Amino acid sequence: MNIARRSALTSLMALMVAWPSAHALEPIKGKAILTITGKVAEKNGANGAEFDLTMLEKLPQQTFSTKTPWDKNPIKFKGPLLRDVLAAAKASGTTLKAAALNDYQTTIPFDDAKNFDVIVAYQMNDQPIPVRTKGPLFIVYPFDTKAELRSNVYYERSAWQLKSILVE
Amino acid sequence: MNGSSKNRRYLLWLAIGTGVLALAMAILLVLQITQKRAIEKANELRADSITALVFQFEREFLRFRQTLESSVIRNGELDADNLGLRYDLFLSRLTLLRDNPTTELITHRPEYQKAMPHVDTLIAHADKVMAANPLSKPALAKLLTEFNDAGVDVQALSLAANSEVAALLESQEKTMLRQNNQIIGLTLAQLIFLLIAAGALALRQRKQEKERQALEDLTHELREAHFRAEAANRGKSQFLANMSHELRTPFNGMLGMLGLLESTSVTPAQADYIKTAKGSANHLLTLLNDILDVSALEAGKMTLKPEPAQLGALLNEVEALMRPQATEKGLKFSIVSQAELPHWVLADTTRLKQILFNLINNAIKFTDHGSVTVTVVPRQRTDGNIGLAFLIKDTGIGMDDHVLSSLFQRFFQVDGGLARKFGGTGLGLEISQTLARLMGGAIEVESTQGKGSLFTLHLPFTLCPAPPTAVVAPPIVPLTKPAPAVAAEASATAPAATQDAPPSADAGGPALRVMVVEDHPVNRKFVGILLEKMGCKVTFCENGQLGVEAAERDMFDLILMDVHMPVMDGLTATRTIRAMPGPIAQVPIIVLSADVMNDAKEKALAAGVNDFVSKPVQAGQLQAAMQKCLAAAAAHGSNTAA
Repeated sequence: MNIARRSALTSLMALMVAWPSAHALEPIKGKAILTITGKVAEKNGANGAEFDLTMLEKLPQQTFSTKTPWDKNPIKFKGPLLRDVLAAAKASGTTLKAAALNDYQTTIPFDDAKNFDVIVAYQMNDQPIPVRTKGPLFIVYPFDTKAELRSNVYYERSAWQLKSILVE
Repeated sequence: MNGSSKNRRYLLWLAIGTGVLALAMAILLVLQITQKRAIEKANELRADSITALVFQFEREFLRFRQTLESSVIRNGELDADNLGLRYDLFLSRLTLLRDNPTTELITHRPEYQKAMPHVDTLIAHADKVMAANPLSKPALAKLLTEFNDAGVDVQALSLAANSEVAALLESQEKTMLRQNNQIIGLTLAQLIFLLIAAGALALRQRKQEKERQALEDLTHELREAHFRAEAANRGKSQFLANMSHELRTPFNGMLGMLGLLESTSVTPAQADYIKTAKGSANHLLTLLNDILDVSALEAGKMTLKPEPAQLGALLNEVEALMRPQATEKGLKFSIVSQAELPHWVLADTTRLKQILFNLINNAIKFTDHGSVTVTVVPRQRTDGNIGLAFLIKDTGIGMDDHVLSSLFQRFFQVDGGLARKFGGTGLGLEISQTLARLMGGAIEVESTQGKGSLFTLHLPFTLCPAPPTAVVAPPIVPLTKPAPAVAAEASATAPAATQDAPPSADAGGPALRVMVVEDHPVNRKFVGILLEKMGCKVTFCENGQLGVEAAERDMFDLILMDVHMPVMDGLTATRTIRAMPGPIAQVPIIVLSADVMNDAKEKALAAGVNDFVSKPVQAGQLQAAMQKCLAAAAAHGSNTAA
């Protein structure tokens, strides 16, 4: 048991030495609100890449307003681009399986992150998003920019109360 | 019912049919749109279904309650984070249930009205309990019992939503089914209507086809009738031509005999009778020629034969011939040219003279005093062509508009009284106008009643150089032959059959042996006298067959051949002689014919004759033709004299 633990620790250290990348994912300090697992090359936790709010705020930010099927008025969203988040974790694959706190699951093609400016929003109308509504994280497509996005396919991919992403 | 009202009725039906179809289609369209909306609505319901919302709400309610329960039962530290997360998720579901418009479907249900206030009270209490830090276990236990109490209402909400959606789907289904039935009914009605319309169209088409067939038959009949009428007309023209020919034959004889009679010694009274008879005969000949011309024109067999001619000489000739008539009536008569006329032009002189004679004749006929003047006015002149206008002006009785309008029509004659006074066939002007048009020109007329008329003949001419050997005036002096012989008095008494009198070797060479093949006794006699005057030895045959037999027996220097004869016609006889062995086959043959149709001459030449002399035979013409043929034969060589 001890040996196993030690070997796990050494292998972790070996990994950190092996990828001394300039963008190496910093160790998590606050409470993890997003975990990216599966095919990720950059890991800062036992399960994979973990992010707290501060880490997400440090990534390049994107802000846009769009109408959604869930509200009568357009909503202003703010957060990093999904592709930047995936890049920070050095994720590579074909599909993303997003899971929500409420056990909601949806599958997103990896290319969606490249083709559209999808963001991982942590603010709605300049306010943090509480779990009581749709928080803390919300995958949002820029629905107003393209007609093809205003369909059930993309509405279903827009997971709220996002908890984790499994890269496959 | 006539065609137009039938057509109107058809159009009306067409309009009604189209209207009905359009209406049915419009209804179908509305139904389809309604269905589309229904389907879209069903889609929305599926996407944001109230059952799903209520189900999720109940699920989070139960999960929070379970977490709460396990927290209360378990000893040890409370998992405040987990409890808080479950509570938040439960609240988020409640918010979604409240805010979603589809919730309106169940707000009227008693289950909803009972459950929601209950949940509100519950939340109010739970907020307080969950806000405490640290959490108090007894408070949580109390909250758990409240949540347990609310479970019944929350589940009732789920069932209410389920039954509401089921009812909605059922009613939508019913609506769809009803509309489907309507669509089926309408489509069926359209189908039946279309079938009926197609049937009606087919009937109409068949009827129209019948009508068209009838029309076609009628057209065919009309064409047939027209064809028959034309054939009849052609038959009439042919009859006229034949008749004229028949008339001409005895007529030639009469004129010839009168001419001969004139030259005998008669008393002055007899001479006067002869002169009158000759005048009448000439008049009759004019009428006959008119009829012949019309027949030829109508049959399209009249063609022009332009040859180099001198207009000046032609006009002099016309003047010389017309002057006596004018002088006789005490009229001044002159033909003048306003400019120098071209020396040589191409013209059918016979026909040109015919037109001028006709116009001048008319002018003299209808003028009692005053003058008749012919003025030649040159018109446009281009390279090698010249247009001339012949103005024939008289100071006669003139014509009114009615007469002018029908002047050039066939058989038209100035009213009955005048016709009796002036006579004529009524064909002259028509012939002149037709001839002028054949020449590329026209005749125009203007006239004032009582003041005279002006006829203008417009004609184009082509200039030409003088012919290499200028046409010498025809030698009207008769009686000499290559072998000039004095008339043998004995031959005059021999009428028919062959006669072999000893050759009269009086003067010069031997007498010319001529065979005359002619069925008509008067013509035979007339031609015989002419030939005797030329000093020929004449043999007569009554038809082609006898002529051929004579040719087999004897040698001749020349044969004069009539065309229309009993037993064997002249052309067949000519062909037979040409096919004979020996020198007789080369004998010159001259056809004497009264045929006026233009192809008569061609036919004769094709049969092998050397020349063609038209009847009535004129001494000068005949002699010229004979001289030409004999000269040609002599040049040819073998002309053995007996």
